[in-house]
Amino acid sequence: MSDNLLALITTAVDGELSAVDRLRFDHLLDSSAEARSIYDKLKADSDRLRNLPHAVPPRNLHQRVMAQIAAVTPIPVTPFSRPIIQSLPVETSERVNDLKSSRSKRLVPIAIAASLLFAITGSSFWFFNGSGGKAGTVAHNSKRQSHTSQSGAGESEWAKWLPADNSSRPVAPTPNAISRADTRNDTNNTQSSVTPPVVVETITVAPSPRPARNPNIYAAEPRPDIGPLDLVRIRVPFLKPLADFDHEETRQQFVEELGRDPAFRIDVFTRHLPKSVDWFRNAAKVSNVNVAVDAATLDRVSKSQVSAVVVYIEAMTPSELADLFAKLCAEDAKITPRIFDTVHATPVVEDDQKALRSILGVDPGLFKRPAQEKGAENPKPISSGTVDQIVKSLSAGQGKETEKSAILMTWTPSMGRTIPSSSVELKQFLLKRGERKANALPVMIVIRHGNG
Amino acid sequence: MSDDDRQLIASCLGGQREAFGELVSRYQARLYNAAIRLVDNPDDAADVVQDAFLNAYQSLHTFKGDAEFFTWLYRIAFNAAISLKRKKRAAVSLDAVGPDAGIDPDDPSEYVKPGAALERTEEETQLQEAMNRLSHEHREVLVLKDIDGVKYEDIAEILGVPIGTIRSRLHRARLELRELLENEGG
Repeated sequence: MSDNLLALITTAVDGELSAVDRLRFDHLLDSSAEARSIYDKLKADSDRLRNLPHAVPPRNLHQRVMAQIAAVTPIPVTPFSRPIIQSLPVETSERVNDLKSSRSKRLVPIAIAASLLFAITGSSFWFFNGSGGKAGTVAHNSKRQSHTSQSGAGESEWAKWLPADNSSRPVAPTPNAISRADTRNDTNNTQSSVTPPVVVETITVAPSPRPARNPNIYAAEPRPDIGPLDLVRIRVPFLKPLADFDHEETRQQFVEELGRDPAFRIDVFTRHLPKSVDWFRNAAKVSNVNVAVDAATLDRVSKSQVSAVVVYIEAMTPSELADLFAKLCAEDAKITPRIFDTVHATPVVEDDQKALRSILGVDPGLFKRPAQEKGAENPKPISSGTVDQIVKSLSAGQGKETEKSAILMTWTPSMGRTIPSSSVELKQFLLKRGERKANALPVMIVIRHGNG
Repeated sequence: MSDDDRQLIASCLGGQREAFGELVSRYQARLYNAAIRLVDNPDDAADVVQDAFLNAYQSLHTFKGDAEFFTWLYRIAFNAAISLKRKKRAAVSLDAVGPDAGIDPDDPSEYVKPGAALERTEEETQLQEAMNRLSHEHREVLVLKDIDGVKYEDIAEILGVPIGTIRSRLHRARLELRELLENEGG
């Protein structure tokens, strides 16, 4: 029985058939005794599992869980969710007295520390606001005065090292408003004979602050909602070790990836090309695919004159390709260490198609969509008799699957490629090549050295 | 998610640990029943349940509430079961020669009472043994589907894989279980 029909049966056992599948399933049961037998057995297994006695948890499991939670973690609360005021439990008067005395004892050092802090704060306040405060002001002014005089003396000392002609000496720009003290110092230091400059005390009014856009940020209206953001989807090429193809998830991802574009190039990296070619042919044979190998390519591969070969297949569906790689993975796992490395699948680009065209000698038409089957766009309702015939033909056609064909040619070096017209195997492949099926995916599988 | 669960979770996040205790009471039996079919050992199953509830409690604030609570809890429990299996696998050689080897466990549950194995029917034993020989991936989908009656969508959410994978996993698991039972004469 085919995998599809078995899957239909197991879905029925799961109780998750759609309406269409239910129809197919009923017809299958009516027409096939084998299907009925398999369904009965699987359903019985499912019922046995369902009817297994319910295991009773240990009586203290709840306590153990709660005790562990209490021991390991605090209550997961938000900061303000806990009540601030909590009611005290009722206690006896004796207990309350003990509690009070112990609390008062604990408060003694705190009270002493608070007193000291208060005294220090008070005395500091008195010092800086009383006579001490005045002294501080004077000290500050005298210090400022001495600083300016020192700087003036310093400048006069440096002046004697300057050239005699001071007229051309660059002068630092001076501010318009000069403080009284600074002017006096400048007058003394330069020892000018001209009359001292008249000191003009000017008061410059600072510019008013710029008006805020929202003077009251608390009462301002909320900002308008941000419009919907564009979602950017980044597509990452499929890249997995071949060894992962024994996992269903990898095969599922592979099938999903292959369903996204009309044609794919799949690079398979290997450590030993001649063995890889043999193993790929074995795996393909198990998958009912006959890989015709160009004789010249085979010869060059055996002499290690080729760094990569290409296998062109256009008769397999994505799921069949996933199965093929799973079988290749199984083939690879037979000998340690494995020779295959990673599988890298990318959509075919124009250059790939050009290269393939030069290898095959004909346009493979990778980007051409196969013609839709007649009536596929506007399906008409079918009669139950037709459904019967389809189901019968599906059931009768099991095991009569036609062999698919593929061709293996040299990929690199490009100078070593076989001339298409001189390859007998290629001609045979092209003769067998019929119309591509709607669900088939053309792929070029490039088996290459890891460093090629 | 049911309103009761929602209320209990809110209360728990509000600081009431007893509310989480109510959730434990509500789901512990169901979770334990699934866990024991996964690990086939009462002690381990209890540990799995305990770890699952503890982890759920610690990360309860991350639970968004857009799925069923038990779905979320199952996901944690199944991860805990996988972790436990890994730990056990690493320590199995030490346990085999340890001083406690051969001593009866002190678990008070009915499952491990003296003679409990005899009370288990031959059919159940055969079925459980076949289940134990399945891969963990196949066993967990069968437990969820057949023992717990969870739908494809929920299984996919619990295990974090696409529905198509669940369907094909169940398909293979059923066929593998059938083959094992036939080989054992079931």
